[in-house]
Amino acid sequence: MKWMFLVVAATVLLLGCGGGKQVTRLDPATQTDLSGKWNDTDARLVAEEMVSDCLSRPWLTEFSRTTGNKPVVTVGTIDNLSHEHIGTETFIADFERELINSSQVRFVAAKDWRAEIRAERQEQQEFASRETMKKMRNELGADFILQGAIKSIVDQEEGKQVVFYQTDLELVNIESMEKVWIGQKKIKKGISQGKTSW
Amino acid sequence: MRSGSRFILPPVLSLLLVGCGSMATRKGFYEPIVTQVQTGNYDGVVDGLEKALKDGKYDEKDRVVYYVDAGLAYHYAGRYDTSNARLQAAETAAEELFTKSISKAALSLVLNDNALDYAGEDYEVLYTNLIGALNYLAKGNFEDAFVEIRRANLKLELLEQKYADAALQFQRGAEKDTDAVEIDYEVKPVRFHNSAFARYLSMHMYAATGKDSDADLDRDLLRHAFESQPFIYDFELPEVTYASDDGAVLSVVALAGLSPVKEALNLRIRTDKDLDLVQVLYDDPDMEQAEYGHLPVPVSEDYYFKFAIPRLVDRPSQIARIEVYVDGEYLGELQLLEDVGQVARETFEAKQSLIYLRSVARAVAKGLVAHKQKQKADSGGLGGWLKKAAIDAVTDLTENADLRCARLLPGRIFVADFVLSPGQYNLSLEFFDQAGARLGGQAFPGYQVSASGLNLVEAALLR
Repeated sequence: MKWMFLVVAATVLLLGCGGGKQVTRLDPATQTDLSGKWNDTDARLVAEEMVSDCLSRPWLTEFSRTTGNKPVVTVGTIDNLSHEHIGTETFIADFERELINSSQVRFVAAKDWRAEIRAERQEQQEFASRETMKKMRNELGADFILQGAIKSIVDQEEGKQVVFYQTDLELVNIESMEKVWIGQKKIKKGISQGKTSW
Repeated sequence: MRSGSRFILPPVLSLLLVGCGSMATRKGFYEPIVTQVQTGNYDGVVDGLEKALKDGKYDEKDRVVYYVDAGLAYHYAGRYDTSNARLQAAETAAEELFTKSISKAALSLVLNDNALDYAGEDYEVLYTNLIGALNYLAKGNFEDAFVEIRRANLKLELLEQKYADAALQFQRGAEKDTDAVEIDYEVKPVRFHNSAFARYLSMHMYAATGKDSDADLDRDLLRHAFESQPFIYDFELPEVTYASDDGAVLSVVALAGLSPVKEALNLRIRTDKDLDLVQVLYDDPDMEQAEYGHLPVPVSEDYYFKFAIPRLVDRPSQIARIEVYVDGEYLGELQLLEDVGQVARETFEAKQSLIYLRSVARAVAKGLVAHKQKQKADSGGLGGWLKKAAIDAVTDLTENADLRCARLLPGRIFVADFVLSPGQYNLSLEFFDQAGARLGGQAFPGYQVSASGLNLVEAALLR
């Protein structure tokens, strides 16, 4: 009779004795790969490596040498051309943070943020005191704009999936349209579903 | 094949423990919901589905059905964010469950496929992406709409491989399991790899974002979908355009009727031990003794067993013609772009071939055990007769086709592109039946047709 109880017990277990929800706090730097999809770890790693590459290239010293200033950079559009819903704003934020913290470049707010800041400054002209009111037409103009795209390729066989992400970024001189740096970072992930045979 | 008494009691006990939802598909509660979707009461459909969820009509294992139908219901009701949340939950669950459901096939060998997590059909998951794209477009979010289109195209590219892998897994599992009936798991190839509707949407999206060469490419791929898949697109290619020198392009999409649903096809197995043959016959009085198929399977006895597999059955639509009016004037007629029923049948056939083989294996295994149990129980008199009747009842009770499927998917997708001068118009779509009687309509008062960007109007009548 032992087999019978085993089969019944297995059936009940398979059909779902759901446990309660548990929440565990994680260190944001922890590498977590639950679904195999693009995540915060990918965004962080790509930003760190690409910024490091960007800042080690000759365009930076060249610009400082000829102008005597640190270059001013802004972030343009980073298109999501992948098959996943990727929040490119997380990636852009990581990129901005790494660049600013390097202290080798100066950074101006990206296009989407400028409208809000300009509206605030406009309001100040009417409502703030003369002493604290910020001047109009005194923004720092960017020298370079960073643009790019995240792309993906998927391959699959026997329940295993390989996802290949490629991030391409370009730094373009806003005045001359000259591309001064092109960076590329590739990430390859293997995803396999657990399976048991019957 | 080895057999023993161990197959009969576990299903009985399991049945008592897990309840009827694991043995047969619950679908009766859908009747009022489908009536409401056909009459266009989409808020009522949303309420009906949420109430069904609250009332426990969907088990955890049925969650993909709920997510797909709820995603569609919220879309029809114009609640696009909630629709996308449900559709994405459906897609994630379907991806996670497909492999899992194969690995849990042992459970279905004891009970039936209703006991397993439902991973969704490929056509259901495909249209979660395409309806998701429509949701994002309604919100003006092109980037995420493109992601949905890419996901749909990717699924189609990988479809054939997916079932080849599934067949391989079944085969390996069957070879390892000494209780399983020796069957060669061969899968019917999937011949659908390019959705014209997906191409139509991406063509317009590329054009609206100024990428005309990509739009051209998608227009070519749309044409290629018709040319290379005549078994899906067995009707005339609609005239589509994404740009005109004479004005702006107004694109109209209409979802009409409802997609096919699964119904049980009752079959009987007749085994022949001398020929090592399993013959599958229709269990229908009108088709008695007509053969559905046969398989060379080694069997130890000659017997009859009952079983059932799912088949797709059309839900005919009353809609024969859809017309567009601008400021009260007739503008033109929509043309059929995609028959969801055809897509459903083509993509379901690959899976159906696996379901059929596994069902035969299960029916033979269970049937032979039941027969041996009846021989043992045959002590004569009323007691023996009752025992045999109970064994028959249990065998029949545990043998049900898995009829779970999305019931709110549209049946056909019609489109048309019209050239208009940029400006504001009162648009309306009118749906007519074969006899010319008006079935319903949808108005878009004060619609702004812009010189650039996407001018997309979507209407639905699911009768």
